This record gives sequence, C-alpha cells and structure tokens, in this order.
Amino acid sequence: MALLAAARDNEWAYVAAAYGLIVAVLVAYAAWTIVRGRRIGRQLPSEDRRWM
Amino acid sequence: MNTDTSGPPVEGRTGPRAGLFRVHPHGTASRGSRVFGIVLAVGIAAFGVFALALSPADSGRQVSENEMGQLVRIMYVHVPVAIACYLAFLVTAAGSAMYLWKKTAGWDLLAAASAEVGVVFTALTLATGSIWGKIAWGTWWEWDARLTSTLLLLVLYLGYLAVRRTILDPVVRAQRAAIVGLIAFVNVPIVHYSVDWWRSLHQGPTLSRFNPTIDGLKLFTLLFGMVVVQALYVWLMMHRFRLQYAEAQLESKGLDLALAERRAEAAADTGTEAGTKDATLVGARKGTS
Repeated sequence: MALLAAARDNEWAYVAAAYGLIVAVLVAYAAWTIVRGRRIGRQLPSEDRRWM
Repeated sequence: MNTDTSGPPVEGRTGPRAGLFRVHPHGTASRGSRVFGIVLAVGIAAFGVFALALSPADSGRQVSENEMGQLVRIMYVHVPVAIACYLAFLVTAAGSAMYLWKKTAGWDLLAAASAEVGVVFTALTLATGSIWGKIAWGTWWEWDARLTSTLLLLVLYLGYLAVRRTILDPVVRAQRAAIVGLIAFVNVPIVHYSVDWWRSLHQGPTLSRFNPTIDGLKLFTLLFGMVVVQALYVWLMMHRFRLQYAEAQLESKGLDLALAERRAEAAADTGTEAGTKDATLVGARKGTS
C-alpha cells in the first residue's frame, strides 16, 4: 500500500512516459514513411506517382 | 543510375513560392495531404492542451469519477489508439476481402498499408496500457484476457506482415496475405469483448452504448482524442498507401526487367530472334532506370 501511495505521488512521470512514447513512436514512424517514400519516388517516373 | 525522372516541379505546388504547402517533388505528399497534415498538427496541439492541462484529474469526488488521479490522462491516448488499431485492422480485413473478390491490386495495397499502421497502433496500445497498469495494478504485465488477446493480435498481424515479405509471385503472395488478413481479424472482436466474456483485471468499456462512465471535460477530451487519433490514422494511411503503391510499381518494373534478362540470356544461347527483342528491352530499361 505504501508503495502504491508513493507511486501515486509520481503519477505525472507515468503520464509523461506514455505521452512521450506515443509522440516519439508516431513521429519516428511518420518520418520513416515519408523518407522511404521519397527514396522510392526518386526511382519512379512521375507518371507512376499518380497522387502528384 | 539516373534517379531524377520526375521532371520539373509543378509551380504553385512544389515551387519555392508555395511555402508551407510546398510538397517534395519525389515524395508521397500531395497538396491535399499537406493541408490535412497542417490541420491535424493544430488539432494534435489543441488536444495536448486539453489532455494535459485543461482536463481535471480524476478525484473520485463525483459519481462519474473513478479515483484515477492524473492517470486518467493516459486514458485519453490509450483508448483512441486502441480504437485506431481496430479501425486499421478492419480496413485490412475489408481490403483483403475485396482483393479476394475483385482481384484488384489496389485492395491488396490498401490492406497491406493499413496492417502496418495497425501494428504500430497496437504496439502503442500495449505500451501505454502497460504504463497505466504499472501504477494502477502494480505490475507492468498480467496474463489477463484483454492484455493477452491484444498481444495475440499484435503477433497475428506481425505474421501478416511477414507473409507479405515472402519471396513469391505477387499474386500468390497477395492471395495468401488476404486469407491471413481475414483470419487475423477474427481476434479483433475477441479483444474488444474479452472484458465482458472473461473475468479481467482490465476495466470495462469507458464509452459503452451511450452510457459513458466519465462526463464533462474529461468526456470531451476523450472524444476529441478519438477524432484526432483517427484523423492521424487517415493521414498516415495517405502516405503509407502511396509508399506501398510506389513499392509495388518498383517491384513490378524489377520483375519485368529480370524476366527480360532471363529471356535474353536463354535466347542468346540458342540465338533466336525473340532473344534479340528481349536484349533490346533490357538495354532500354537499363537506360531509363
């Protein structure tokens, strides 16, 4: 119980860890997708990139 | 190898005057995805203010509160991310079913792109749930029905992505992946209803049949988070689907080239006219790639 009470005092650290993890993973994944898209896109002619 | 095959950038979309809306000439962005991304970034910032500052801690003083303290803020991201992984796998299942029905490559690409985004969201669901569990339950992990079925979901879709990486004929691979994508989706309702079907350490649904267990600003923040995270899924899908499409185009060109090379080699041994045509094709392809 004392351990749980001490953890409750430190709730913000857990909140920060959860938000930090989500932001870091999603930013890294989005960056990886965009960079990989640019690398692949360079090897394709513009008519094969129909969204442009 | 000449890699610059895109031609000149389109003025107004990719030119220097486009400013914030400028898109990379070779990238997966379009003007629409760029505008959507900017609106989404503003939405994410506003959500952060609500989730971390404006929304009150769960004190347990009111009937609708559960004494979660500051931990309620983890729920604002954990629940929307979990819903996003359901949505992603629903799109994968729909894309897989449509591929098996229509045999159109676009459905297969949609299923593949959505599965990968879904895996990222599932991993985040498990990670944020684990952080919440450490302080609420006193443990990082428990082999409880919800947690175990969610872990199984992650493993199933990692298996789906592994099937997609096998070196097979693209049509055979797409068919096998579509079957795996449909079978794996069976686990999604099991994950969702696991807290009702089995005794679980995990709490029941926070938003269930229009009878939410939270209200006021906390309910608004949770709903806002759901909108923002689903919009983020859509934005990620715009880029990921285009990447998947570009990879498929590149793979198709590579296969054509490899086939032409093999035919040219075989024909060179026998000295046929067809071999001369393939050799010409190989030369032309190599010149443009």
